[in-house]
Amino acid sequence: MRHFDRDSAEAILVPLLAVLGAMLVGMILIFTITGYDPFAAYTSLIRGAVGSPTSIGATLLRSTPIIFTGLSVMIAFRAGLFNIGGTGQAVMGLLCGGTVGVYFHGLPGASHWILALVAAAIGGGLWGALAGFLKVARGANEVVVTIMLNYVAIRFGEYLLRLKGPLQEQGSSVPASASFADNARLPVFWRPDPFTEVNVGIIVALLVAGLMWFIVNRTSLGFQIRAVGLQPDAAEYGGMSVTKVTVIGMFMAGALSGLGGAVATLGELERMQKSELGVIQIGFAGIAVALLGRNTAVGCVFAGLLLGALDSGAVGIQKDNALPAGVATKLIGVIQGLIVLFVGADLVFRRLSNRIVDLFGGAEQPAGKTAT
Amino acid sequence: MESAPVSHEGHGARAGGDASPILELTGISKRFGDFYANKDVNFDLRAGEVHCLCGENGAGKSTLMNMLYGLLAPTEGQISMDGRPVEIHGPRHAIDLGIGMVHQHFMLIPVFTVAENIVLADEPTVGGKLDIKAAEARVRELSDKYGLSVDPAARVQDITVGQQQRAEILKALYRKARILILDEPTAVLTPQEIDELMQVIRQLRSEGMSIIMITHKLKEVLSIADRISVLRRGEMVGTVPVEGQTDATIAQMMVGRPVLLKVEKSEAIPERPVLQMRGLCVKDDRLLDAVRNVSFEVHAGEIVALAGIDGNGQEELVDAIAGLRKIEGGQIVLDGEDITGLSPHEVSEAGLGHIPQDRHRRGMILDFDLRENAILHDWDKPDIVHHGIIDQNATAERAQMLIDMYDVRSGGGIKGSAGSLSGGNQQKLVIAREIQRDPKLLIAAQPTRGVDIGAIEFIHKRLVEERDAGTAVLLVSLEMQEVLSLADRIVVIFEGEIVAEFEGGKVGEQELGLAMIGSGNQHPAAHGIGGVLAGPAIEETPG
Repeated sequence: MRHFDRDSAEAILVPLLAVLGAMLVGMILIFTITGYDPFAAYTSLIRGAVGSPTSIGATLLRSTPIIFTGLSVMIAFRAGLFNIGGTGQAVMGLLCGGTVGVYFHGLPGASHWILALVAAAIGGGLWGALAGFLKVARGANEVVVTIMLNYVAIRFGEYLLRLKGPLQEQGSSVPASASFADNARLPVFWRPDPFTEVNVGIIVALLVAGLMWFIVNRTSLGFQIRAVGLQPDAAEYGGMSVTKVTVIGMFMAGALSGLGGAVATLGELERMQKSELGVIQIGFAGIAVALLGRNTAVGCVFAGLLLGALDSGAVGIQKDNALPAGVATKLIGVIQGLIVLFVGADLVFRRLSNRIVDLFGGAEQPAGKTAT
Repeated sequence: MESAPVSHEGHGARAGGDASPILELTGISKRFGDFYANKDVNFDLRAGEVHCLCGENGAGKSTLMNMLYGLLAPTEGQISMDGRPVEIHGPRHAIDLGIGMVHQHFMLIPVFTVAENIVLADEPTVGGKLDIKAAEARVRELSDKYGLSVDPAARVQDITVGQQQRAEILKALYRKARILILDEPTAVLTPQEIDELMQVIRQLRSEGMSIIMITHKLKEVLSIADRISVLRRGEMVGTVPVEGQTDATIAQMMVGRPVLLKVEKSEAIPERPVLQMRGLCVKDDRLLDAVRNVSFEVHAGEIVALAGIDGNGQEELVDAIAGLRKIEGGQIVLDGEDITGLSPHEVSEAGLGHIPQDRHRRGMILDFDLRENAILHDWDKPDIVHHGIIDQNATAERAQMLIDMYDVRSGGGIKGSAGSLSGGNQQKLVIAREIQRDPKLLIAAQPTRGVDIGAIEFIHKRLVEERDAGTAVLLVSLEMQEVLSLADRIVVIFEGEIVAEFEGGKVGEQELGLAMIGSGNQHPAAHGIGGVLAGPAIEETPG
């Protein structure tokens, strides 16, 4: 008997259909609103995303931080928590990692950037754990707390990096820190062209995603996280501490977002800049990544790569003038929003997915699910 | 409808005669892959009868009804209504054909009123606006006609489970159902609500409704059915009129062999006290006193039943012992170790095995597979977890052992999710896990709730075996029969207090029943329980 597992088919088909649906709506929008040729626009989009080594490099760079924040939202979700605080945690991460990058000297080889990333993970993690702690100690809803902590983190960073702020480079007239030490910057392993430098961030992201998969699915900690996330009463009955798991879960979520913030900064910038803090969107992008990745580690990698590709595809559209000036990034924003919407309202796509499974001769639900 | 059955006192007056069926299932098979959930099943329903469909968990009752309700399509066979073949394309179509179904788990929106729920998807409107007054009036009319006494304007979340169920029945009536399918309607009800439901069913029948009731509770079958059909492993064993049937004959049809409805057990040989409670006080979720000054003991090698009507503090008491609820006062000692105020994990380590009352909320994680559920307590045990990593092989072996030893039938084996198991098999898995932990004290809270007859026999046997192996067993049950047949000693709880204690086998149903509703003359001071209260001080107990 050939078993076509409906659930795993769904896990792949639903996001895929959501993306296709969003692209389709995007095409209609392009045509009806701008009158431009949607096929030409999408050709440019694809070329900009994966059409050349340069665009592949750009896609990888854009994907890296949102894979981290996606994993962050994922792990919190697995523990039954909604982490909207990716942005604040990323800011704390980049501040901690950046500080290590600027002020530590003479660390040999890779040890400096690794130490900086560890500091970022701890900084972001503590920021996340704070929300977890407030939840278990005071019953404060983590959604509200993490949103508010975003602002606190951003303002704190702006204070540190403002003119004459504690982290601002002395004597400079720019609200930014001094340059990172060379060893603190993430090593570049691929230069598709002189202006595109792909750093090891993406490799770290893949390793961390693998680690997350392992933790969630193979360790005692992951077992507890999943149990608490699914049925806290049963987890408690099984002797687990919901309190502990909540704080640890938020620590892990914060650490992942912190890494995202640090990787973006230490990978692509010379220094910490005040102007960068207010425009960090990777925390929210992480929610989209986790949703699209169906809250699995592997899913987050693919979803992060896809959303990153759309971002660099927007650049491709601009370059080719395939759409009116300024429309490309907005359009990609719309498409990303639609993807999230479609994944969220996935009933339609689940039905469609079931149809497709039927089409390919999937077995019906096993009897156990329907029998008395 | 033939001769209107007015009196239902005697079985003779029930529907019957030459009634041609309004519904007929002929040669129905349903195949999932190689597996036949139903094979060549014949079934018919006559107008104005109550036809009970019995069978063990997994016998194919729900599959059959799901085909009737259009949720599944038969692989083979023919469904006819009023003598004409029909093909039922979906629930909507089934409703149009006059078939209504009340599921075991209600399909109601808690924040909507009863009337809003009932008219949902079929709303009366005035110029596009919901005419809720008309809806309520219509619902009230139906409710009065069938004696359902449900307030159409009440919110579903504010009414009792029994009323919710009647709202579901009203939903079917509102959609002009002629045939009503009730899927294990009594599983979620209290004894009083069950009596009320039986009244409602009789009323519906006297108004000409044809009813299919899925159940495996023999008492109900005998009291309400006109005819009984029994499914076993997907095949129809037979259809018989209720006359002349006894619980033993139906049980035998269901299981395929004679079933021991009475538990066989020898005299208990109680040893040392394992569970000792002194002056235990616990509050409920609303912070009201739920358990008041409770003291009793459970000894190794005996089954003590905590009997009482639902909601008299049993749940809070069990939770307090298991460390799942804060203890306000008093002391709990488990085999010489003071466990008052310990965490669930610590209590479990101290030797508690706990079959929780609500297996869907506490006892298992429905989205976890059987392997993961098998190790729900063992996430830090060295035989399962090494350096924080779960040993997949050890976990699979554990799960396989549990399902082999306790005959847990799972479609997907140990990789199947717990939620895909039938209720009886879920419960067997929980019991297997708890007993295999080799506890000193085993708390079995309503261990046979929603479990079929073969499994009940099995579970009772296991509890007695555990007792004989020297475990202290605390049985918490709402079923008087279960208490009477299993317990070596019975402790009755009423409004959070222990009001009576009996020797097992030396008390009748009536006496126990009176004590459970708090009107027994067995005041603790006047009866043997004083001896327990004055028993050896806990501190002196050899540990």
